[in-house]
Amino acid sequence: MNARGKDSFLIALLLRALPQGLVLVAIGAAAGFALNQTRLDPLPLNLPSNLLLTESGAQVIFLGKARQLFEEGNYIFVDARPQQAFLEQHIEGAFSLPLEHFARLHLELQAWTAGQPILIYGRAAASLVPDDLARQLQKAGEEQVAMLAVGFEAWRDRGYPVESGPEGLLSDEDSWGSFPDDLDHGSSSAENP
Amino acid sequence: MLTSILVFLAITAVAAGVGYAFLVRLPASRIPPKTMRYLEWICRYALALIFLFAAWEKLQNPYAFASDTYAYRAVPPSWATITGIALPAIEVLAAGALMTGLFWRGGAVVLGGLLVIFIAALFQAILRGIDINCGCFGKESNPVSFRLIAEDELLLLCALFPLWIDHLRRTGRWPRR
Repeated sequence: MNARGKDSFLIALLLRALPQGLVLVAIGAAAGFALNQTRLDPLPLNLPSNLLLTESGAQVIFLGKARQLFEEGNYIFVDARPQQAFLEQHIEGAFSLPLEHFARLHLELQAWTAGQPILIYGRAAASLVPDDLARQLQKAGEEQVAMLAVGFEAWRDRGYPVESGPEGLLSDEDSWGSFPDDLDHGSSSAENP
Repeated sequence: MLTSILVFLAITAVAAGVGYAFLVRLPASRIPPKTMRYLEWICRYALALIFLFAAWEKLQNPYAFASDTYAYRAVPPSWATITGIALPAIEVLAAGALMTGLFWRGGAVVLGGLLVIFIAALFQAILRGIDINCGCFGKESNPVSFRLIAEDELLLLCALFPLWIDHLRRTGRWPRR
């Protein structure tokens, strides 16, 4: 192979093929980003590393899909936040299962779920708790465990159905003691966009 | 680690030998030009179809591809996400270019470049003992292995072959018809 002058393969690649390749990469990348915006759940650029690589290997579900699953009613929503936060506000129909109470409460949750798939959510996208809880549930025998990628705050901010109160608290007597007096028990603030 | 490096070098040496035999010695060979033209088209279409299939799987679930990319532990999360969004579309465009003939040289260079990146990513994962699925074909992916590196090197030859024949034709060292 002649490596010099106009006969050089490398120079031919640089002059003839590479510019074409750069045009294809630019158009392809633009098309990829445009296509991403048309999806039900566009992939966010700032996805934290704990969601890109989960310890549990649980399926990660984004907001639009989660709303679909909520409407279909096949999934049991499980709140991994502390019970105080759950009492203040949670996704409508969700159960509370904070990680620290897992040992005491998971059997009751499993009685409720009866093999139904579970969707766990935490406070926000960067929360590591749902992943830990997913791992615990998998160890306890749950086969279909998924995680909400964006957390409760994004669900609430989107105007999706939420409610307040003890509905969904599992029967852990200790936790009832922490119930705040100033909450309107069981009130629902479901809002649809 | 030394064994991994030696295996990689052996596979690459075989691919380079095959490449040398087919590409560099081609002008002196007695292979009929028509046969070479068929071979050129087989390489282009095989490469394009494989990448189209791979891109189709990735387009179904960009999150899964971004996650697979991040699992190589070679790029930050934002790069993995950008890859998950942009790369499948780039693959489709480059494969389409190879098949239609419009900007086909660019298509071959893009897919060849991607294969070099894939080979480097696979090799570093093997060296670092990262036990993951390659993510090449979405759900259909295989675990990272030297076999995948060998397959990628073969595909790299498929990308280089049409470019080399084209170059020989342009420089008058291979008949145009």
